[in-house]
Amino acid sequence: MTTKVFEKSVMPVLARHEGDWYGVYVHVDANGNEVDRHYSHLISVYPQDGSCNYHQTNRYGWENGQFEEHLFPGNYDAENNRIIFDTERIWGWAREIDERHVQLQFTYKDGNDKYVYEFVHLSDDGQNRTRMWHWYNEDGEVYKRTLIKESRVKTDAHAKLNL
Amino acid sequence: MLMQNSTSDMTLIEAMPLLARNGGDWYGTYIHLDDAGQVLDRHKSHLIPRFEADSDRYTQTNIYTWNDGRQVEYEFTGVYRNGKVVYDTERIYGEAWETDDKTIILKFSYKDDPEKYIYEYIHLSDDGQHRTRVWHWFNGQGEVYKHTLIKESRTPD
Repeated sequence: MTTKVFEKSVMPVLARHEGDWYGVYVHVDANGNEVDRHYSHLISVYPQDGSCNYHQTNRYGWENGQFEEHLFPGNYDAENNRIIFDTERIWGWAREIDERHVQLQFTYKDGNDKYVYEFVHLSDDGQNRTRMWHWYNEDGEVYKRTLIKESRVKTDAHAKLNL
Repeated sequence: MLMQNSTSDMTLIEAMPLLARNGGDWYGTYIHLDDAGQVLDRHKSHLIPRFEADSDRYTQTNIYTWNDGRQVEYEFTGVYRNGKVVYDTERIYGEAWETDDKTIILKFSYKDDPEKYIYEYIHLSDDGQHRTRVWHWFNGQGEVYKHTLIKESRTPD
């Protein structure tokens, strides 16, 4: 919980992500072989009710009808100029590394030492987004990657899956 | 660590310690994917970044080998300038910088196609034995059209 007013302009690249994103997630193993694929609808908002500084809803839909929704409330860490996500499942942060990129690092709270790095690239016109998750084992060796391509446009495939 | 306060009279090894930990031989595989995740190409790699003490630059040799025996070799030099390494060769212009204690970002463009750009993310394991790199190929509108996934270790397959 936070009661502090958050001025989103302190993280201007993240602020440009506000709104809806429709995309496809492709999960590949370390050899580039596809292990899973699903559609996505993500919603980034800045709540004004004091519940948190930044909030993201991730909705995933598979063609077999499987559906998942994950909520990520985030709060600003002024000392490090980053947003911290501390949920039941994960602990991590997001920060800006140049005028096009937000970098995230997070770990799952299931007791292992694996970690995930994500790089988020936003096009200059704010209409195209590319993200990639890199899944590392405790030795820092990658074992999975998740390729994500998104746009502001809802496709028929998303509509069909109620995303 | 961000090296925003670095001065140009620092040696490259002092200014960019994470980059310097990348020195030596790396053996790996490059997998090129289109924007839908389909494999376009795949080849082996042997990279040799070479650092020298008291220098503002380093040199790297990249050797790519395909299963059909085809081989390509590139050599280039990176020069330290204002907190970044700059690559200015016949083929490319690029800049690399450290964003944390595991990550280096490299942005570059080919000189014969300057509107497109490529971002590379380099992740070095804490023990220095595993490296992961990814290239994202963007068109002039900032829409990705290709990914290159690279996984490397210190020992040949």
